[in-house]
Amino acid sequence: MESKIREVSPGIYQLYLPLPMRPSIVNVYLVRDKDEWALIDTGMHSDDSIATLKACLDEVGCPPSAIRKLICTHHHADHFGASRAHKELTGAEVYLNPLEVARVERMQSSTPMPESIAFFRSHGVPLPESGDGLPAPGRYFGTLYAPILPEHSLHDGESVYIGTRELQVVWTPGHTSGHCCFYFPQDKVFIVGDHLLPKITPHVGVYPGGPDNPLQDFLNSQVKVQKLDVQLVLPAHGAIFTDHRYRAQQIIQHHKYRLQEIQDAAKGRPRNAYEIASDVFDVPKDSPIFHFMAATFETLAHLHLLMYDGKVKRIEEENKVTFAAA
Amino acid sequence: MVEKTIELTGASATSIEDAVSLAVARASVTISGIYHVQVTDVSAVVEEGMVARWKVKIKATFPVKDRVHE
Repeated sequence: MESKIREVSPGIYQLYLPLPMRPSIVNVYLVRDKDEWALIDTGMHSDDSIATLKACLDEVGCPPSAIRKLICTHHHADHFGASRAHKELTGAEVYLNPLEVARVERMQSSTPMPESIAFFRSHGVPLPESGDGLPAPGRYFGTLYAPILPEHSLHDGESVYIGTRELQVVWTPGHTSGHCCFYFPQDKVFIVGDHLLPKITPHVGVYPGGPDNPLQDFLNSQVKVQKLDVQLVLPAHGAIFTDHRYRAQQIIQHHKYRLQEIQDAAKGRPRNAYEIASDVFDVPKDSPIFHFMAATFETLAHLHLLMYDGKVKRIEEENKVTFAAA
Repeated sequence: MVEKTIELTGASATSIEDAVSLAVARASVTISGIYHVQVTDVSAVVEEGMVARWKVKIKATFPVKDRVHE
């Protein structure tokens, strides 16, 4: 089997784990200090991904029991989905931000959430008429999402030690409300999860039970990370890179453009988030409903930021929400 | 110094100015240092007897700079 692990900085290894979707790979990271190891993020809970991880541990000479900490950037299935299996394999203690823990609990619900369905319909998402229109959150990913509740909370600014190697927690809300990046001050290495991806921009959306202005949080987090002195950026998808400030500025500029485009699309008659999303995103007609939802809720995140800035107004009538120029 | 010029078309439901601004903002996501644009054509899309969108063709100019390998 082709090697799926390489040392990207002394004692820091990048592992490429397979995903059954696009992007098709998630990078997770092994960090060591002498005999103690930590795993940053887990990959999805699939046979393929777990077998790949085990092969990588063998190759690098890390017995599973040497992994003492499992530290995760956020709750999504490709980052936290195999946390239960990895905990059982290694006996490691699990670390996650408390805001993510609340989402993990929500994601395990085995019944559809009526308030979510009402929320999706209010923004114009064309859910099928039959049944409730959506599976329960616990069934979105089937067995690919098998999380465990963590023993430890990650908080902004605190340090976690892997042996004597310091990892600083940098809370970067936006992609998810409790998303955290991890900075290694001795090496100036920055593990960024989905916050700073080299080629694509992470999804930022408004969801039931989530923050009302997540795009503002995300943009603030892009400014925040630029204050760090970084020599190597380790993302969860795509190649490693060096200039985190340049990429953060590009991502901010991307959203400035999209805000302008969405503000323009909201001129004229009031329209719902789904209609505006159809203008600004290219989602093929035969795509799964989740793709339309992602486009709609990312559009909604932009509309909410514009609303807080006084540039568009939100109109709610008979459980239907539309937006128009303020 | 050498500059590069690219041609873009922006479209806006609101105004010609917004169409220019959108095109420049989009190009600036991947191009640094655009400092001048020339509007070379203006047109409009008409739907049901009304102007639905303004379209502007622009030439955007930026300096070609090499980044130093660190």
